[in-house]
Amino acid sequence: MTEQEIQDQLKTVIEPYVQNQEAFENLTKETQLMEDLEVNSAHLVDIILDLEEAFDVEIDDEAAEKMLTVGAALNIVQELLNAKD
Amino acid sequence: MIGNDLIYLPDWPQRQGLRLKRFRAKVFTAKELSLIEEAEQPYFIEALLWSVKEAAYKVWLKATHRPAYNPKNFEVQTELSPSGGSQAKPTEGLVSFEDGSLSPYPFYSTQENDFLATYVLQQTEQPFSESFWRTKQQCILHQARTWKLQKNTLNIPYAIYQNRYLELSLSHDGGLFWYIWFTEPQPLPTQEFFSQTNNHKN
Repeated sequence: MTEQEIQDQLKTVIEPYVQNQEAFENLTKETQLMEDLEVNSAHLVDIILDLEEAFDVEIDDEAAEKMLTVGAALNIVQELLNAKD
Repeated sequence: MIGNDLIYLPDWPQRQGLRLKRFRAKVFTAKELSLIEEAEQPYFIEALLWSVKEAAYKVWLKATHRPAYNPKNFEVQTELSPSGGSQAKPTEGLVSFEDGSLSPYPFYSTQENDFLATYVLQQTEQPFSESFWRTKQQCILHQARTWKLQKNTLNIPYAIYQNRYLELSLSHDGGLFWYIWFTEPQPLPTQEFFSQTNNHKN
């Protein structure tokens, strides 16, 4: 899976929980999920659950703790996918 | 230090089946899961425990400046009424921090209509005040007239009022904005706290 494919899938997962559409349209790796996209913190857990389902991986507490930006989420998913190969 | 959290209960997700189990496993400790499972209103208790964790995180972030969030690092200790949490009476208890970096703090939670409002206090003897605003516009107008509201780069909010530093906490949900702040001026944080301060985005 390419980085672009992972990013596209990540955007699909995040979109239903985004409250700031303008920030979502200008998404970068530095975009913060809660502060910039205004994702409710309870929905941050939903995003983690959705990512686990979408990529068939398990995101443990330690990794979830670091998932504050789009870039961090991409890196975590990429590492988990690499570990599966 | 003070932290608050507001939940609009009709919007609290009622997850089902395996997803509910996975959600709770990621968020709650074994003791908290027992509280939920024994409650007659499990979704209400779920929201209550979440709300305490959110308020506690705000206090923890102010104390440690470590912006990493794992809900299971905060454990809520409380005794619920036989009905599994009263919608009329406030709930009190303690929230402890798994790594032991801070002492347990008391929390207070009340439900009014569809809103669950929770705050966690580090200094219980400090007087504080609060205000609720129905619209974002009302909230901004209030800020502009009285406070210079800011957030630092860790997104910790604070206010400058008449050249004094006020520690505060804010939360919004369901179209309601809730501010809570110490009415007595607090000691100035370290220069590090202020060094990369940004104007509040709101």
